[in-house]
Amino acid sequence: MAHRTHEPVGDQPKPNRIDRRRFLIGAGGAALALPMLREFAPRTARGAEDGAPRRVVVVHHFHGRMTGDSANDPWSPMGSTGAYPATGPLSPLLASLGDIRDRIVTIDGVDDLVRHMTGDADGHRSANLTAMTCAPPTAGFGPGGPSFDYAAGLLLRASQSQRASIVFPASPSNPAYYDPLPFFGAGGTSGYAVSPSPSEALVEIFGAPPTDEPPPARTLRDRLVARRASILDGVAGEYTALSRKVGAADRAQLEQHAEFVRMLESHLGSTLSADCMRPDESAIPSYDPNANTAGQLDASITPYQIENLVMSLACDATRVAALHFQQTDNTSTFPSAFDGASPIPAEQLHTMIHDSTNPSSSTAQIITQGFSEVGRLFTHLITRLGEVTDVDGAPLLDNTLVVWVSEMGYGGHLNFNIPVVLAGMPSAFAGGQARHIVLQERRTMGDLFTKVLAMVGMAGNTFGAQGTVGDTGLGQGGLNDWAGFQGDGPFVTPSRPLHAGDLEI
Amino acid sequence: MLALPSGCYTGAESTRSDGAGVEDIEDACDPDAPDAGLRDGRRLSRAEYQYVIGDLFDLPPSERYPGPFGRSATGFSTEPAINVVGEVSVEDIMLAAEDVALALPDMLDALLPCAAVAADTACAQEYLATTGRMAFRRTLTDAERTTLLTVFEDERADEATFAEAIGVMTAQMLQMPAFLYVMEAPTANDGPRRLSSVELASRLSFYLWNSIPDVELLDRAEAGALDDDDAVLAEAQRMFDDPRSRRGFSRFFREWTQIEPLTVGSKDPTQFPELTDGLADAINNSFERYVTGAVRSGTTFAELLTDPRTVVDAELAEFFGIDPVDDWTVVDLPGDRYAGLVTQPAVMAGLAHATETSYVLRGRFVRQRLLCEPHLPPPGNAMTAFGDLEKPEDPTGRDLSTLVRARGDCVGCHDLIDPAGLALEHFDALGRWRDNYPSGRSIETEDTLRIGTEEVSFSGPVELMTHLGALPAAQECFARQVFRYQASRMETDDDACAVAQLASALDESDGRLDEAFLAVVRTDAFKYRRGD
Repeated sequence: MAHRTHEPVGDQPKPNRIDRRRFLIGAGGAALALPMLREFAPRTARGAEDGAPRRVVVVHHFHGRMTGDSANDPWSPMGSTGAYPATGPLSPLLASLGDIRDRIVTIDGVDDLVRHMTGDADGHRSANLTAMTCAPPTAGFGPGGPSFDYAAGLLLRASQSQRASIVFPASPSNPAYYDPLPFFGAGGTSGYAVSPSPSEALVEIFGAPPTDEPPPARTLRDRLVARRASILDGVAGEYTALSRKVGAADRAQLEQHAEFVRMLESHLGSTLSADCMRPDESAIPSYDPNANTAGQLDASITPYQIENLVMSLACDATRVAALHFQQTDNTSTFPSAFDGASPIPAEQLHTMIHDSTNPSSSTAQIITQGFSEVGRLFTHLITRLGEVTDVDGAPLLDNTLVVWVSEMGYGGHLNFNIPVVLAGMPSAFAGGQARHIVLQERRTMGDLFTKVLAMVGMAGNTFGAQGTVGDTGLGQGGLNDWAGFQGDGPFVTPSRPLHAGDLEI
Repeated sequence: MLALPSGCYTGAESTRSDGAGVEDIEDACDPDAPDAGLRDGRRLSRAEYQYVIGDLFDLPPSERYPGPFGRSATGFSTEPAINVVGEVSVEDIMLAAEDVALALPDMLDALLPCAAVAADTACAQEYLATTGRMAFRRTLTDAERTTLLTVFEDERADEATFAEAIGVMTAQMLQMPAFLYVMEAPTANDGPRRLSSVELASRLSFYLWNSIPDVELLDRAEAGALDDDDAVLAEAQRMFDDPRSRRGFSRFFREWTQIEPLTVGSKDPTQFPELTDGLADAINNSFERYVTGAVRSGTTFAELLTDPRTVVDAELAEFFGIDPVDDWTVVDLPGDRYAGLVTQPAVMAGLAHATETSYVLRGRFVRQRLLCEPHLPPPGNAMTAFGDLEKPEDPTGRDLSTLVRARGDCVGCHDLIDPAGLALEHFDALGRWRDNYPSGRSIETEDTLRIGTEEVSFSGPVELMTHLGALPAAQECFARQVFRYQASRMETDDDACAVAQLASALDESDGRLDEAFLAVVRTDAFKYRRGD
């Protein structure tokens, strides 16, 4: 099949380089043009011994593998664990990931087990609430906790004043019923999502565009933030000096205090990537959001949102970002994936996915071609992360673990075999990249996210509900099994653990 | 020694090496040398920090400053071990200091009059000589002054306004150990050292006010006036009479009874829709007024446990169903129902769950906090075992206690804990008297409590508290609690004399609470420090 060439991909807008002193509110420097970042005072990551922060990007799309079923799976590159073939498409649905095949790992065998504890018949609601939270919904069917991106951000962020996570909607249109944002903050509150419009999102993150006007005077808050490292240095010295003058027990207390002050001070060191730049909004084409009712603008606009995401990491506005593809909602027709008019009728994608358990059907073929658009944008994200230089001189991608998942396994409301693509941070993959993993024992999203934490240096933290599927304290409405799973018997059994130890990758 | 079952209480509580309880002064005190122990330095607790910031800058309490970690051995929040720092709390301390700094420009004229006349380095020095001195509880050393003035001058050179430069300097000052830690100089290992006059001023102020000394005390201290015992007593009396002592009394009684301030969120709104922010505040305020009034008015320990009065405002008068009042008023409650401190609504609500009473929490309070009996924590399967019990419909507290005590592995502790808690079942989870359970079933409070080798029978809360109020062991326990509160630690062998002196002060004054609190500052343990 012929594919259109996507202008933005590989031909990205060149963002404005940010004057580091302006960015950092350096002594005598200009006022910070970034009202949010002013609070962030870039730091080195907690636990990052080499000085480069560890970061996570969570990518999410709807309807999982889109077509096929567990017997006929057009997403999975291989039927068993092993290295990818050197050439040829990875799989029909992942064909557009060819350029980054050496940088990814794909996984079969991860389930959203928690969704099956809700007893909820709605095919979308429970999946949407549980996939990223790994926690049962509340009694009123609200999110049962924060999503993984937020929880990871709490662990990785440099300080409490840094955003735990920023969610970037990938499509310049508003979510519909089938695709409400699955990302949540503390206690299941709404996650922090920027505008779907890249130009608006850019201002939200980086502030108003710089002007030739003289910068506004620094505020006392600016001064306090700029002085933190210096103050802490002086304070630590006071603790050390006093500790020499007191008894043993008091000395231990003061030395401990000094140690933690030093640790905090070290986090205040600059971690702005050399490539940290304010994306250039003038390069973003003007568009009418109402003209994107079927995803007509996604291919041309989404790369600018991806640039916002990449620069948010490079400029240390956050350590965790989420990219949420809305292109797979019911309204999208993936017009840019086809020559000429899209063969997907408006408002029919959801129905078509239901009808596409046979991947050879003409409907499935159309969906597969449309989905290639998501793969191309994912490829663009990985490519850009690989192009930007991090504080340690390595590509940003080397310090960033990307995990691409979905709320479903197969498109027909089935929540096993969630498609998982991991990318970036090659040092975290004991078995290397460019390979497919078929888990011998089925595992949960909680296990996957726990493993991601371990891979970015946060071993010992577990994400998601604990216990077993049958824990009455967790389940809201009883269990329901995967009617569509063609495996060896029921998998939603009361004794199945929500966490089964380390997931070997 | 108490005859208590093994596997529950471990005997008379004491950290003394010989396990002894309170001794006579003659036996406990060394006539030839001061009796004093060590006192580890400690970071200001959250309550202290809030009071200190209020006293220094007249600012409202900061929620940023980190609270205690874990459970203290004494039950009091100033123990050093629960106020250590971690990485996050160091950052919280920094942010709390910055909050103060940000508020400073708006109040600088009032705080530092020279700022309006000549906002220069001399005025910054004046700030350190006044506010800085109060914050550090002593005059700053030359090195400290130089460090802080350098920050000020750097900021001024960087075009900061005078107020901004003072703010940045203050942010550093409030993170320095001289401010954050109450810490005394070590003592050579050749015997107890009398604390310096300045060190004693801090002991006095944090004991009685939970905050820094005022200018009057600090001036006297830096002049060496507290080297004299009579001057120490005079200062203590002045501070005792000062309104700020309410902070200390409130914290002592709140932490002794192990209750948190009542909030709307602490109770089930479907069962207690009448609990509004206003009523919660009134109950908390009433408690503070009650305990402060009790100490200031010469109330005895026995009266503390039997006095059928409380303090009400209009909202609480309605709560109690008594005649309306216009302002805070001490009122008599029915003497056959109410018995002093324990039956105050703040205590009964604090020793209850969100939805129902807890005879276990209440009973444990009597044994642990009123009688100073050491208590082992419940076994890990306690709640599971309780959940597995087959319970009747609408069980009463006594039904549940009977079921629990029928289990061989539970009866040892619950035979000791439950009777006193069940005696208080007439007070619901909001601390309000009820004649029967909501189900209509009657409340049975008649029981027998085993205390040591004695068995005490009572018909209800008033008889029980009357007995406890007259019990020497309970009064001695109160003396120990006062010692622990002021020392921020459990008593040790070094403290036998001080505890004996406090118990004696109570005894000789027929149990007056004010005498116990003031007796603290007469002890060697308060004025001296053992060799490190």
